[in-house]
Amino acid sequence: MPLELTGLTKTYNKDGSGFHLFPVDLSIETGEFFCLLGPSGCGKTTVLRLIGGFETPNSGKITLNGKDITHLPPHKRNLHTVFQRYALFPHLSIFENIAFSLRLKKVTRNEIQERVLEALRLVQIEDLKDRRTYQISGGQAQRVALARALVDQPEVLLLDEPLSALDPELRVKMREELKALCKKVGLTFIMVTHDQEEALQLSDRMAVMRDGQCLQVGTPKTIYEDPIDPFVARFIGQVNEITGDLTGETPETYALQSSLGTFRVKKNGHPLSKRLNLILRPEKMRLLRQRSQIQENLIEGSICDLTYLGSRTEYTVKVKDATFKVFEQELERLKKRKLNVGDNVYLTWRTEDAILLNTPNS
Amino acid sequence: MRRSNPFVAAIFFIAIFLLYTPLFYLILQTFLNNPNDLKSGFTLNWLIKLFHSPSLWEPLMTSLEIGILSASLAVTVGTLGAVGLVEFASLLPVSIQSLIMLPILLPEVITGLSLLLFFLLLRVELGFTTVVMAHASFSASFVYFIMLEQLKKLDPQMAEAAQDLGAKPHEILWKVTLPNIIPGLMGGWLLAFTLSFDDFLISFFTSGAGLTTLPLKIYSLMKIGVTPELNGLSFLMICISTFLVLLLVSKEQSRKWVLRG
Repeated sequence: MPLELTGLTKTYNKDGSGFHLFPVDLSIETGEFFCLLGPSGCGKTTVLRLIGGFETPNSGKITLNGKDITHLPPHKRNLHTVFQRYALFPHLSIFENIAFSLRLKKVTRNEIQERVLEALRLVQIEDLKDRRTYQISGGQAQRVALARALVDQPEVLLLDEPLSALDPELRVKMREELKALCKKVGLTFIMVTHDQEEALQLSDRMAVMRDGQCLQVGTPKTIYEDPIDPFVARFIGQVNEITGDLTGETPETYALQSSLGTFRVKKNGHPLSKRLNLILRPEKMRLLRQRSQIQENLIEGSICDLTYLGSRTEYTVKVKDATFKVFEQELERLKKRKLNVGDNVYLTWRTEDAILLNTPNS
Repeated sequence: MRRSNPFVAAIFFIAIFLLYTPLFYLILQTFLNNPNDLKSGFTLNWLIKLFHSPSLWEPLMTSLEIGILSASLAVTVGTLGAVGLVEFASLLPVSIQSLIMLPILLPEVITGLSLLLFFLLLRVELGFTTVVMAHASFSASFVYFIMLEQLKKLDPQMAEAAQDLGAKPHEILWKVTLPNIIPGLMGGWLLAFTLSFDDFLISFFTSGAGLTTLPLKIYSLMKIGVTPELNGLSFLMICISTFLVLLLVSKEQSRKWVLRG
């Protein structure tokens, strides 16, 4: 296992607000693009700083390719960080910024020249090598920071919200480039982000964190389609939730009784308690004009808002005290149907598209 | 553009007038045939005479030497103090941190007297060395504050980035921290130099019998009366000070330009 975190904990008291990182266990493969995703204060940056060596864990172990690096200082670890604000050296040219690690290692002049130029080519900024750090844009600074971290071939690259300082358009473009770069150089990339879209697009696997706890680790598809915690479901994409009680089961399904009715949900193997949350993704729900023949998983409501977005329309449907989001693709078969605000509709979904999870604190 | 307030403008011009008129009068006197007669015509004689009077040259050179040495010493001590404080800020209570301000706030008479008593206690012979030490000790606290501001402006991630890229602690200081605080170092040095070059009171207490700095010399000449050469000398000092201030300001400007990126 290339990078392994075992039972890593960290407690600190900063400005009176205590923070505790619960034991984190992660195994990250070589060449993998791994994202640590969570809201601010969830401990994702702490995990990254522990790997980078800027913090010392209270307990636990970090091994890199079998070597214990838990207590090595940052300059003795063969991994580099791309900092959130890039942290370029303003007293050096772009070339010298990138050459920094090589000069410290006393690499020969010719080899420095060669490797820096190669790194510049890798991130497509060869023409900037003689500029100063204040003569380049944010996107270019980002590339310099990447080149600087990659030039002496570390085993792992750590990225601390590298795209958050860029404007939205550039951010989307850099995402694609980062992913391509990871595959091209074949290094392990570990990125911290609070942007779920970014994590979905970039990760091979990701860990969703909250309050110092690692809630779930998995591929984007697993995290999105099979979350094991309502928080994970809410954090990645949008959700509709119905809280209810487990009232019965058949070999294939559970029955959930709620104030909106009784619903059938396909069993998925998670251990369940009595109080449950039914999670429904907006794009997996359908709107019907009439009750038609469907009897199961049906809720009656009225449209209170709709937004046309070209490829899809987003509806907000009011059902008693609750509101539901429904995203419908603009499909040919729906073209004839005209739904307006105030219309009475029926909400429905396929039994296998609903996710049943324990309500937290139950 | 915002309309200016005529009242504020008037006060501003009065203040400027009060501040600079005496200086301009002194400069004017330097070039008058008869310094006390505005209609006596202009001359460069006094300045030329000044360059031929060794009794003023010697104190000038002494002041320059003391200024250069004490400023260098003050920058070293003040910078190290600031670097240390930034590192250990969380460990020291604020009250202790602000004690370093004391030499700035204390009346110079007290500082001078205490330095004199201290040197006497150590049985150090008063002279060149004691003046350099005394000047360095009080300008170090000014340098300290300049450097503290400069260091606080540094991106803390920069040192981490250097360490991350393989720099050992001393390499971080030499290759990253120091090159990025050079504007502050230069500003601090210039300020310390100016403080030393202008200082009278502390030199008076710590110079002993043999040593005469330029301000001390001017003071002793004053007992005889204001000679035109003295006007010339003052003019020279105004020039040097103005030059240093302009240098400081231009450094500050270029640094702002650099940091904008």
